[in-house]
Amino acid sequence: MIALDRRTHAYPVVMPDRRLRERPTPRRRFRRNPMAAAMVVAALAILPALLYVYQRTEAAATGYSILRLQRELAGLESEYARLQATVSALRSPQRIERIATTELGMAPPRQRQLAAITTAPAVAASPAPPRSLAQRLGAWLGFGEAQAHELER
Amino acid sequence: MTRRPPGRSRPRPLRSGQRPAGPVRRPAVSEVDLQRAVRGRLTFLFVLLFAGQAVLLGRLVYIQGSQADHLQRLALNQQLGAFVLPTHRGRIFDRAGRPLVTNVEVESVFAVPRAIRDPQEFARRVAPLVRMDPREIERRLEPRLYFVWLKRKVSPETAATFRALKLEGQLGFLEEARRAYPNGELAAHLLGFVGIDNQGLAGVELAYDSTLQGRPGRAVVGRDAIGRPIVETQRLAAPAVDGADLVLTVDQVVQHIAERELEKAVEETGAVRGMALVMDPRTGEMLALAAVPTYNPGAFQRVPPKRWVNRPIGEVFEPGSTFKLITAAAALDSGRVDLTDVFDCPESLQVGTHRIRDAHRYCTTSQTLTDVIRYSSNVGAAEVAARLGKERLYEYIRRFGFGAPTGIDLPGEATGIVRPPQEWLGPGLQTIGFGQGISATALQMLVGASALANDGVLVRPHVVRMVRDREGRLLQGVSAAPRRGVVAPEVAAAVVRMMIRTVEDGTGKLAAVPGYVVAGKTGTAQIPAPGGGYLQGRYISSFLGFTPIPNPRLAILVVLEEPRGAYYGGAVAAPLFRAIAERALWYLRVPPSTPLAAPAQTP
Repeated sequence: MIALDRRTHAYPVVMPDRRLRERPTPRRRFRRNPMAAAMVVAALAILPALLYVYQRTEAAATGYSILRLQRELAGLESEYARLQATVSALRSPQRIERIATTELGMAPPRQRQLAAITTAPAVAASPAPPRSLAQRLGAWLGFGEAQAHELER
Repeated sequence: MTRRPPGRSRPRPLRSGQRPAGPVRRPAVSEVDLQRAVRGRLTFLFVLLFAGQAVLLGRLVYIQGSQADHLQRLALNQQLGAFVLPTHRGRIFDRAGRPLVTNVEVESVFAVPRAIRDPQEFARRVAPLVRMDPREIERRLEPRLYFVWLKRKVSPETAATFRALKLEGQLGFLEEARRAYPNGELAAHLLGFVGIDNQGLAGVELAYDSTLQGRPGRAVVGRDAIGRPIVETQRLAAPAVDGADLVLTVDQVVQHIAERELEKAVEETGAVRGMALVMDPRTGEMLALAAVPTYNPGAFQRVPPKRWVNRPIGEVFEPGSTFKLITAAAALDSGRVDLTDVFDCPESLQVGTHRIRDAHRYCTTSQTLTDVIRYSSNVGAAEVAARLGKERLYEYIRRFGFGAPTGIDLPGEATGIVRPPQEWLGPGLQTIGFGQGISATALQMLVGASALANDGVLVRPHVVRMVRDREGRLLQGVSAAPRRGVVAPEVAAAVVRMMIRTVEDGTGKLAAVPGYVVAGKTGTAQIPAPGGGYLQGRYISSFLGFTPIPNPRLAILVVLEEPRGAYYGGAVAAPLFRAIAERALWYLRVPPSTPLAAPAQTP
């Protein structure tokens, strides 16, 4: 009956030698230490308020930053407009002509100093000669690619 | 029987007047009495607190209930402030996008009279900077006021001088936008100017004031203890809309050419005043509008108001011989005169008690209509007008747009003076035939004659090409101007051919531009005297022409008022036309139609 003999193992178990202390409920804990309870309640009550104040302060600080940047932007825009006006004044034809004639000794071109150049009409591109089958095959295989492009031009 | 504690004897009764020995012993209070007393006090305290709370609650209900609206209003008034969001006035550009008018921020200076301890001393120190009498400044500094302008839109240097006075608290500075005209006097009459609050007062600035102004916005914002706006409280009541930018048809360089040559001509001829108008005859786009003497729009107060008048469109004059073009076109179009018709060429023409003469006699026996135009014959024009008749000539005059505004988008346009035919007394018909007895503005003359260069179609002149927003997006383009045919295209072409002859071998030879075909007509008109008749020895010289022919790109009218010495249009105005046309054609890269002379060989 060996086959029927079940193997059994005995595992040692350490049993508690004394009764486990019952974990006190939160209510009991708070009853025992009301000061801590009050601190927790106060913290829970004050924390959102503190967060709110922090948020408001940050918003105010950001608002002042926006104001400062807006002023800076307005100043830069004003400077840009002033510079544009200066550029326009410097580019005015009167000023350029005055400098050209009085300081640089230049004069407006006379009729004989001007020439109208007639541009030749564009030459019509001649159509590419038809390519043979061998040429096309060669181009497809990569041989004579430059040549093929040359022809297409 | 109660037993006494050991060591304690029965207390002996006191005799009268005898004080007990040792500390006074109060009678013992029972526990119950003590509890009762504490309870009573607590009850009293509770009632007191409750009553206090009740009073506070009652007050709260009163404030939040019946007083809420009123108090809220008070608080908002204290904390919130409405302010105007400023706008930028639109800029003005030439047709190539070059700025003609822009804005720059400058400072304005104000005083705080309430903060000034010694107004007399204050006025004495400030007076030289504002160029005012110290007593006048002192008078304006009413002690009850918080704000009085001292000087607006000062230069940075002047602002620095004000700051150097070290009058902190008594002086203040505010930034304001000022119009800047970077090209100075260029196109002053056309651009116009603005007032101290940037409101348009003349020219394009006035005509398009509502477009340029924009719409200021409104916002409400809470302010902190030192008056700074609290951004997160800002509420936009109405957004600010910037003024739109204008792109003109005027070309800065063509305008400069016209002004420069006109100024030179006025100086050379000794003329009192001058005008030059350049227009694209096909579209009615004004390329230049110049008048001399001119002024700086940025300092318009420094010249007499008379100079602000945009004379090319606001002042009328008798056009003189340039008007013969209208007479000739009317004669041909009505069929009363043919190109082959021949007119007598007497030395003078007697009309009633008046005698009409030519300034120069070019013909001896007879002349055609072409000769009348080519040699600018008054006698010939009078004969043509007589053949047309009053009614028909009047009809054509009106058809060409005389006696009515051209509709240009500029303020102050004059209508001109065209009397009805019933009022053409004496030689009225004949003199109107050669441009006397009728008044028109320079613009009317140019627009009317330009119809001849445009196949007989009259166009509406305009100076604004498009309206754009500040980012350059198109808001409004000027659509094709209303067109009206006034004469047949063949008639217009025939008159233009006469004008070409005038420049080739007529009175306008000096207007010829090498390489280009020019069609033109000279004009020399007398100046009407205030009491009737004409001023002796005072003339208005003019030249009107188109170039190049065919497909004219430029229609130019130049007018010189009261030149000294030579005064014929062909002698003083034609060279001015040539100078402007030549430079403008080169600048616009219009190729010459005939070959130019070979460049000179340099040794």
